[in-house]
Amino acid sequence: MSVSSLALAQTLLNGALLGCLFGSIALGLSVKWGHLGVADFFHLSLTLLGAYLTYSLVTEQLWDPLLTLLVTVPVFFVVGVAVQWLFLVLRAEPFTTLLITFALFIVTESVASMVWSPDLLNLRPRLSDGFTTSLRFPEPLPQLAVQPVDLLALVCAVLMVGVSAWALRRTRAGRAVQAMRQDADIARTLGVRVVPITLAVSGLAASSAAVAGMVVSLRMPLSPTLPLQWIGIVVVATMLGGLGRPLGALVAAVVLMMIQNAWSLWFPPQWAPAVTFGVLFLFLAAQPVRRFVSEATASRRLA
Amino acid sequence: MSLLRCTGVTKRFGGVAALSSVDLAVSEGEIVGLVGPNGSGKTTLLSTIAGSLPVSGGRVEFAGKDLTRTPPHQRAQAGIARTFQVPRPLGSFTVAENVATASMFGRHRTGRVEAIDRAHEVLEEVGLAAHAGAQVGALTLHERKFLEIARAIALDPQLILLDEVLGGLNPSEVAMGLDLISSLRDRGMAVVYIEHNVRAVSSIADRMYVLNQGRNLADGTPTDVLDDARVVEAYLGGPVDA
Repeated sequence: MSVSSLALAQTLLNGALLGCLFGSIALGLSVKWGHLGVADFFHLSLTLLGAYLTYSLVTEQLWDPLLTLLVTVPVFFVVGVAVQWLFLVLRAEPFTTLLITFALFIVTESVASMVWSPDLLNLRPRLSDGFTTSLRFPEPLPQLAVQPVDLLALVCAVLMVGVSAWALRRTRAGRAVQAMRQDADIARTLGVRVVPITLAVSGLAASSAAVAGMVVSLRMPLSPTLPLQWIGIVVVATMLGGLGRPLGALVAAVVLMMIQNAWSLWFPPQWAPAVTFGVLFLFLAAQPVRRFVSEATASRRLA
Repeated sequence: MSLLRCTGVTKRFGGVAALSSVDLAVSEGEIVGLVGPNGSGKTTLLSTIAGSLPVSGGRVEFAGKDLTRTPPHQRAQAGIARTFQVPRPLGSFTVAENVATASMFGRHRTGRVEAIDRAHEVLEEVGLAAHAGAQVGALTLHERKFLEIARAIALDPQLILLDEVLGGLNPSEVAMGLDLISSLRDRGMAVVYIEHNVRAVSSIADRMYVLNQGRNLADGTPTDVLDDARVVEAYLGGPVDA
């Protein structure tokens, strides 16, 4: 089957922009997993709740979708802090946090079904043309088009990932987070206030779910089972990008979605998720080789 | 007045008492050696002073304040630094970044740029300036041990707790390390120094404490302590015939 270069370009573009949305979701998971040691499946549920809250505020209170962030971001920050505080009180081991967040993930799906119904809820018909009318690329590529919502996803992803990456590398708080991630006991003996930083990181990660949820509500019809559709791509992007590396997670999500979309041009689309996990499998299989080469290089340097 | 005063410090792990009513006092600008057989509770005592382990009983006072229930980061900011028996550098940081982190969050909480400048000064002092930009994985054992000391110095503490910081080093490296530890006293810092190499610690200590089975066994000048028959018996299981 031949595919025109234009169709391929549009498909890759769509994949990249959808990848930005998944990269925004993966950001919070990557930060919590990488820096706090919490593989937080509840983060996906928070994203769904952010989407539903946006839907409710737009349809019932007639708020502008962007204004909903004034409510959801601080509320989710508090939720993120509360969840992490619970882990600290319970002195939860990583596996325990995994179980708890997975339980919350399941419970949230049921709660969303009860509160918002299991039916598909679509915000797009209620949005102004500014959100839904496709934009054409300027010359020389006028055949390519993007959705304004996808551009919003791009802007949100770049802003959130950029600020996170900058803060982690360039600020005192970021240095404290990195020290804590590597060895919390050592960080404490160096004067790092581990508990407040842990709570703040969790709160900020949850806030990012509010932003991603807002984009989700504009981008796709909502259903309580949506997180099950995202979980593969988000978890794989988080792992491929390197735990705790927001930029890596975004790049991985973009590349994976481009590959998935391109795959669907030639092969049955239902196999696309297998591509994602295939890439993860190859990545993991290559890790022992990478480690061997890295240790051999270090040994040569010491010799 | 003592800078550090531990009174009746007790630490139990379940039914096992690692420390039983241990007393320790350290004055400003003093090197105190802490020795004892394996399992005598030396590292546990250091951990209770640094706040890494909560005490089961007793009191830890530092600079006239009761720090018994104070968390470790506040003790670091109050002026207590410690090193670990097995070096624990922050692996993804460079050597300079490891030291700068201590300066950034220690007693004076410097800014990032100032902390890096301070890190380079400290690395110069401990002889690791050439490795400032290196990853810690590239350091040898003695360099890692000296990095532990550098990180402690960068906190700008009044008291440094050194846990077998010269263990496993060759004689010339031990000599360099002893000079470095002595220089800390010259700068007014107090040092509590755990070491298995009793000869090394007694060569620089002003006073020594001996622990045995989690209890104070003896204390005094190095000469008095090493001549104490109880100490000889604790180490060797009985008096040594000449």
